[in-house]
Amino acid sequence: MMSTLKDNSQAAVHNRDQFLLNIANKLGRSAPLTQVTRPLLRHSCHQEVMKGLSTDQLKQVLQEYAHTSLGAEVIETTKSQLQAVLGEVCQRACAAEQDTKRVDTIFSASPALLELVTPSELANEQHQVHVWDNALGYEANITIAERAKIGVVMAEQALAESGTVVLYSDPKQGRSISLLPESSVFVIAKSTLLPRLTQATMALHNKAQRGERIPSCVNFISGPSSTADIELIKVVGVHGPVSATYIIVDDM
Amino acid sequence: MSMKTSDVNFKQRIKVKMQDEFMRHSVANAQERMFNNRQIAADKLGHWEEWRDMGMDIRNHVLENLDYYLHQLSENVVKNGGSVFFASTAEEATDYIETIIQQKGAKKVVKSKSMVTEEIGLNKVIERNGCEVVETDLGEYILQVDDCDAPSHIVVPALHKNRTQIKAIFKDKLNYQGSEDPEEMTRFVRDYIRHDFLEADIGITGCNFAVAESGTVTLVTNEGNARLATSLPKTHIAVMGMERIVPTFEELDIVISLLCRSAVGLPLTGYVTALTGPREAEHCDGPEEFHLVIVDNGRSDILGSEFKDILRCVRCAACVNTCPAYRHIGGQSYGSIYSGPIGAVLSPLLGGYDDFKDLPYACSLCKSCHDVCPVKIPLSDLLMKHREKMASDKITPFSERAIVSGFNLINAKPLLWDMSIKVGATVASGLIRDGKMPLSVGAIKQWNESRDLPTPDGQSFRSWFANRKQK
Repeated sequence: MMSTLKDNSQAAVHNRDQFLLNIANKLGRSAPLTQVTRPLLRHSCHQEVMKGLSTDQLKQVLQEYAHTSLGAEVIETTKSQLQAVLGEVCQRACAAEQDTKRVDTIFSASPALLELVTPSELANEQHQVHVWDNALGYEANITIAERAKIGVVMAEQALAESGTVVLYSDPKQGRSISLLPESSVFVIAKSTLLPRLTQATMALHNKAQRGERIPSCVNFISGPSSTADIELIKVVGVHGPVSATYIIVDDM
Repeated sequence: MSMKTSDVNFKQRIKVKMQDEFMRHSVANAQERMFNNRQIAADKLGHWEEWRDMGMDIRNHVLENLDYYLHQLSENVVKNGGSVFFASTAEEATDYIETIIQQKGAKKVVKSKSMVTEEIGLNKVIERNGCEVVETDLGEYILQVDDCDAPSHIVVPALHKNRTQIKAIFKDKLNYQGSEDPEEMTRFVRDYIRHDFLEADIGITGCNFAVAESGTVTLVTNEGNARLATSLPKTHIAVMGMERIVPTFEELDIVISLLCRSAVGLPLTGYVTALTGPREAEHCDGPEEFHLVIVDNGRSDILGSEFKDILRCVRCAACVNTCPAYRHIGGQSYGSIYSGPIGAVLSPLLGGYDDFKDLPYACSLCKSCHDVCPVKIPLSDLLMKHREKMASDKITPFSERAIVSGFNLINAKPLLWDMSIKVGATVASGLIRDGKMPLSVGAIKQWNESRDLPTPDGQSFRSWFANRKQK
């Protein structure tokens, strides 16, 4: 069996038949099942949570939770004001740097975001702005993201109940933008607000049922990174971002 | 570290740990906070019992059809360009991972928290290849830096250490010069190991739940280390216990909702990361290669046994956070990486009675664990089953079996019973002085040590009752 290990870089399955036969036997079958009907869930309480709430009501729930429980900053704005709001957020980060040290910001190249924002116009002497560019390859993008203080990404959806933004990895929006910089800025279209995880996982389920590949990395992010590993005391900012800003675009 | 974390015998371990005032205080405090947070989160969500029903149903359905779902999962992982290795034993799993390490010539591995990699003793295997392995979850990192101290809780592994101890460890091993403020120490670790993520050749993670319909591996975390470990290194290896699977994203919603609330009292943790295969060709970050290692290591034997229900477990530690035995003896007393009620059931099953025969007795049968379990595992019933099994397999001490069969014999014969009660009452009244019995052996000895006996009046309850009637 180990001979099949010579080349691991080829996608392959090892040792499956014997392994599954053993499980089948333990379950009292002579061979593994080839068909199963997935039973319906016994209850529907997960679908009832915040059912019928308007997007404005969902926005309120999200705002409240993200602010009080996650310690995230929540800003409401409009499409036309987004550029100015992002400018302010970046400027504040610059002002927080001592000795007017240079601040780098990396933007996702998401078309939905770039339609509303012109990142280069946010640059100044102290503030250097980058846009994720797949063509530069791994090293260059990671170097920039690691140096950047702020990462700006476009959310796929946002979940009111848990103050969560959903990100799909995309060639134009790498995983590292919301991971390596100290501050994450999530731009959320109000129309993408959902009550809870139920609706977001349903979208992925439907994708899978249509036979589409799920993006290699789907992240459900609720606030900045945190830990309670020392004496159960909550510390915000561990390996991931130390702060999170949610910008909800009202007319989007 | 393998599953077993101590060679000292159970009673000896308990004696030592119960002297540790800080540990006992911090465990009690942690239990209260985590128990309350869980309860508040469950109440806030509402219909908690219905959620638990669904959690139980989903996990039962998966276990009943595990062969089917594992097949579907592996097909989908391969379709996405990943590899799947089915490992019947711990050694098969570590052999496979070792082969990858050698093929890549890996010099550094970053790991995010994973119980199953502890169970199979992966770190030692990685290190024997001259490859550095860095545990990146803060709690696990503290334990690793402290010469691989044993974890004491499945969610908060360094719960038994206080900030002063942690500061001393960091100062001693990492030349840390800061204060004992948790935030300062946390930031220190952030800066100290960031380069490890950037340099690592391989990222190794566990898997909270795999989704069969899409070949997805889901990680439930807070610190961002699992994201780093699966975004920067060129190779990602996920290791999962074979039962950690759901059919579709629809069920994932339910089990994740239950897990986050039960583990930390939140609707969701900071990061729930769903990883599907290696990165797509046109992406530039994320791993180029993805391997899923599915571990049996004794689980299929459990599946075919009366202990099957334990495989529903989602590793939330709600049972640990409510257990009075755990509260008093702490996690390291269990001598297993799995502590608390779940550890007391699982450790003997995965590691055998030789090493873990005492654990099913670390239970007062209060059944609180059963009430909080999000997937309704009858933990205390399973602990009783262990005791029954050990008694019938004659694993319990001979003296205990002799006493029990003696009792059974007497109990079955009314005449013998009456006589022994009368004799017992007379003998006891002659022996007990100041609440203490001079004859102190076996189970009686332990009982005697912590309790005073009432002064007997020389007659049994039955004769007293009969006499009382006549009066």
